[in-house]
Amino acid sequence: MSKTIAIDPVTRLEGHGKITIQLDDQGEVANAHFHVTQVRGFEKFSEGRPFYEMPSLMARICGICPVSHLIASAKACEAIMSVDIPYTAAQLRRMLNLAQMVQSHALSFFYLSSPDLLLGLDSDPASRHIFGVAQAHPELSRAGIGLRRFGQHIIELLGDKRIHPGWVIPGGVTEPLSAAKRGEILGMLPEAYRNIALGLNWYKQIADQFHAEAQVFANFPSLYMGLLNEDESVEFTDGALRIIDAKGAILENGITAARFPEFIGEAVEPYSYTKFAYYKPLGYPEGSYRVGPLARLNIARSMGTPLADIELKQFKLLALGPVQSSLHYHYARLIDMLYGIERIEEILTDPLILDKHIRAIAGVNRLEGAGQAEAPRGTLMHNYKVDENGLITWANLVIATGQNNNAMNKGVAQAAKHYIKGGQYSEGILNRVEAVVRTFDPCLSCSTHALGQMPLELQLVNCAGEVVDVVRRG
Amino acid sequence: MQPVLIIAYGNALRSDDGVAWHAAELLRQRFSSADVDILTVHQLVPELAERASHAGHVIFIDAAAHGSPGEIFCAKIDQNSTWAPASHRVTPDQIIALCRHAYGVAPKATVVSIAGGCFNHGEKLSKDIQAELPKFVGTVASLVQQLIPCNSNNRNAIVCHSEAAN
Repeated sequence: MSKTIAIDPVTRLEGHGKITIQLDDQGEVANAHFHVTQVRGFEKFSEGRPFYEMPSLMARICGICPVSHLIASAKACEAIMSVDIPYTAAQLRRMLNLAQMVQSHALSFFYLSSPDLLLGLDSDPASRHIFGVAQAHPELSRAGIGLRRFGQHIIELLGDKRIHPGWVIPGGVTEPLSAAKRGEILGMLPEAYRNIALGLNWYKQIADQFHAEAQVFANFPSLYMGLLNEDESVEFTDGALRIIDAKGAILENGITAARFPEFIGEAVEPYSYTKFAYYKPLGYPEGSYRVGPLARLNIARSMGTPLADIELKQFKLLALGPVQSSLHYHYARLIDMLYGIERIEEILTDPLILDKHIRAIAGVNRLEGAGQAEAPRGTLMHNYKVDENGLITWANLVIATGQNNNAMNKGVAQAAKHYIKGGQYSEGILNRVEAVVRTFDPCLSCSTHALGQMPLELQLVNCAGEVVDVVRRG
Repeated sequence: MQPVLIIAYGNALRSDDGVAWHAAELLRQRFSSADVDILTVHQLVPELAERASHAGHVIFIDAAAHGSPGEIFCAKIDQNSTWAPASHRVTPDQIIALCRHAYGVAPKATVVSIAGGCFNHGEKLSKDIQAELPKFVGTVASLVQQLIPCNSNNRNAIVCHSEAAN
């Protein structure tokens, strides 16, 4: 009799999802799915709102990465206004976006994934959280807390609050950077450098212990996509899209926000409320691709900052072509953070950074606009249509988690097939299946986050859909 | 090290759940920032442990979901407490435990809370809690006053009930 194992909810993710693992008559894994079970509806209920309200409305999608939505949304609005924003405003936004990336990555790596890496995937789930990390490795926990605080404090200094800052608006930002705030951020940099160095060094020391997991944690060929500068260095806030294939060949380059709908399609599956993005020329699901830290490093020739470039060279030694295993998202995430700190320092020493020209003003000059930016977990696109009065008539958001959706599902199936044999599984095995999803750091459009263990329920369901056994924890 | 850190937390958009924000505003008018560091936050997060580790005494102020509206609770936190598995929230005990493990110091800590009567959407306090706000602020202020002049000698003089706050 075939059975279904359900991991519901998946723990230590941004939001709520579940995993179901379908077993065949022999107890072998036939298939597995990652389900996103919440509905938000932001695209629909934004219809009828004035376009200039969109950044602050869209930021409410998420409490972890509101800045990404602010920026992608503001850029879509600026396309409608048909304006280029002042240089200083673009630099300030870039710093805000990088600060968010650092704090979000610190949450993902140190709070949510380091418990697995430090304490072990089979360790007691009661201790497998940031508090357990603090007990076992205080310095590592301090580094994580410090990096998260670093990013959040910059967001607070620039945008007046850590979550949902209203500072980014269509046309630029509302307030210039003061010399005092600039000085305060500069003063935080030495500690941030120490903390990321500690995290990177620690990770590189323990990474080899997870060689076996790297073989089955979403380790398969796929396409990769992300934003790049013209010099092929990593870019989070501006730039244009590049898509490469599994061997590293460039499929598309220089895709601006206005053109992304020509290349990116979205499919739906009956088991998830999150869409499945794909590269249109290859169709669905063959055109599925990955975004986020792993993809960014795979598509880039350089990070564009000295220390991160040294790390990028080491990262690229992991494979002859693109690095395929999603376990290496963790390493890529740490390199992203190092890059972010370096770029923030560069921006702060820009002679124009205190300039007072920070906003362009215009009305509706086009009836459609699109914006794109790199969120911590991958590329994010906003696309709006408005009427002559600037009221939204249609909106579409292509979020990073949707772009990684197919890879997460394939990764869950790969790990489940490897670890679950004859219908036998342990808590540690289920944690490995969850850990595959955690490597992607999906944000399930939720404004809250899990810090540690959440209740977990496993259901065994027979062919008739009857629950034959339930195991609960938490 | 500042003698006292007050962490006022709650959802300011859910009526009485935001009482700590109102109290913090009044406490800022009473005390110099050189003596008392007052933070207002929507919820407790691990990053607060770093700030708390620099304080001599941490006072958490919050709305309580139990008790008669306006009832005030004061509870000391056991500095050696361990944490229960966490999910979507962090508790004052966990902040202090994180201070101890991550930063090697565990400041003394007290939770002062007031039972709310209305947690619906809204930025205003219910009438009952608005009326009791001065008393709530006074409770926190008297605790602070014991701690400011002679921090170490006065800690034992704090009178607390054993009930767990919030």
